[in-house]
Amino acid sequence: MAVADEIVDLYSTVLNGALKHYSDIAGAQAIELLMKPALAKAAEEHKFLEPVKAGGGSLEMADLDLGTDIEVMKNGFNTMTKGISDSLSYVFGRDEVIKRVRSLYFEAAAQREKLVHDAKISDGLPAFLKEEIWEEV
Amino acid sequence: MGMFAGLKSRLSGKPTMEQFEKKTIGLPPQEAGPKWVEFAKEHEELRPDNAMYGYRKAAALFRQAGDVDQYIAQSLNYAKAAERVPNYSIAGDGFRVAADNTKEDAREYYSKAGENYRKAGQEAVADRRTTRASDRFASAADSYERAGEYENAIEDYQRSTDIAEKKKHLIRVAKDQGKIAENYLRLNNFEKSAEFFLKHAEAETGRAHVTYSDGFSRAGDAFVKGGNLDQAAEAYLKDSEFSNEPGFGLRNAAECFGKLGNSERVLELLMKEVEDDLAKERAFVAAEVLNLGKVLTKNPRVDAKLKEITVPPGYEKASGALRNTISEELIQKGLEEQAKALGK
Repeated sequence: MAVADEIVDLYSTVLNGALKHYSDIAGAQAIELLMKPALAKAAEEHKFLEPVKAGGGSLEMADLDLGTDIEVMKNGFNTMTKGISDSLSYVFGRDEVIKRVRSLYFEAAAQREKLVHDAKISDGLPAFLKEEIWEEV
Repeated sequence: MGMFAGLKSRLSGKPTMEQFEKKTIGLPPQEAGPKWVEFAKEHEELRPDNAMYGYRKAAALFRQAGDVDQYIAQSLNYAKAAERVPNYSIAGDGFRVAADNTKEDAREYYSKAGENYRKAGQEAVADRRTTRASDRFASAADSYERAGEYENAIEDYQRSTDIAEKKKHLIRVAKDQGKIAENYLRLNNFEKSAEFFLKHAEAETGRAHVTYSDGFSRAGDAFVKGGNLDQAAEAYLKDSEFSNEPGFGLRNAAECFGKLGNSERVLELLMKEVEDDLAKERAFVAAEVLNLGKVLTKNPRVDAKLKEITVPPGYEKASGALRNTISEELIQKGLEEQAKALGK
């Protein structure tokens, strides 16, 4: 898999993992409504995210331009991750959402050690995903 | 390598490091590793610097060969040799590798790493190598934090941030202040924790391209834990200015004002939150926020607004989840009765 593909796969795994969990709790239509402004903001700031579609409580990323610069891609996904996490936190509580997204991220990252290292994924991550021992506080 | 070192090696009949290095070139790591351990052992007494180098080389080779136990063992050996040299930075690295790769004794090794990085930082300060000093103090702090020695961690983050502030290294300042805040939180010193979360947030949002910081809401949480609801409300309001979801800060500030008995402020802030939710077509959220308003203010304006809102079918589970979250928030702020009234 090319690096761009792998990056999409990583963020898609984390975000869709979180969205599926909260859709199971609250219903897909509520989750779609909640994340709508975060998606719009991310797409406005990072044009390559415009093709991302929300449906059935998850994100469809198949139409993304994989020729996008990797740094641009990382920035965009980080904005989107932060925005969606904030929206979910608003309804489900910040500690709960951070714990969930962190666990999904670290599990996904552990399976993609080479990508995380080579593409410097840790740089620019939202703070709550960056610090290894945040969860204890 | 100096002339005397060469003499010492020849006198004792052992090859110099350069000679030994040549001998191991081309060997597979699982064969070269043990040879470097042997070399290091032979030099431990007279040349701790050579021993340090040998054990380090061995550690790298064992890592390459995938032998984690030997990687840890040789990292500890080079750390101990480095302490005798002394080369505190390398000693810190060795203990840190051992700590990161083992569960047993990890705290002890993190503590030793912290001790050595701190000494390395102090040496760098004496040599006026400020960036290096700041890096070493930050490494010391991080190691102490993992060792559970939170006071030591705070001391070294403070040393790191003092240097970073002078050098106008704002990313480091923001990061260190956030870590200081977290460590005060671990020590249940909520006032100091909140103070540093605010500093952290101000340092973050002071940077040109950073538009948001979790620091404000985390300061709010710390103030709540310390029972300082006035300042908590201020911090949450600051959060609402910067956040993607202003409603989160508005609602938490309103809950603080609810506990303080300021119904007017509660109403004002919750109504703002409701307007934001309605603009985002989130009727189910707006309705729950108004239910909170009813419990906190008993104001007829809330009932009137509630009547204007229609929540379409299919949002019952989402409304229930939000009600639970709001109830938890109320309990954190000492509003147990109101949480019960909401159905918790």
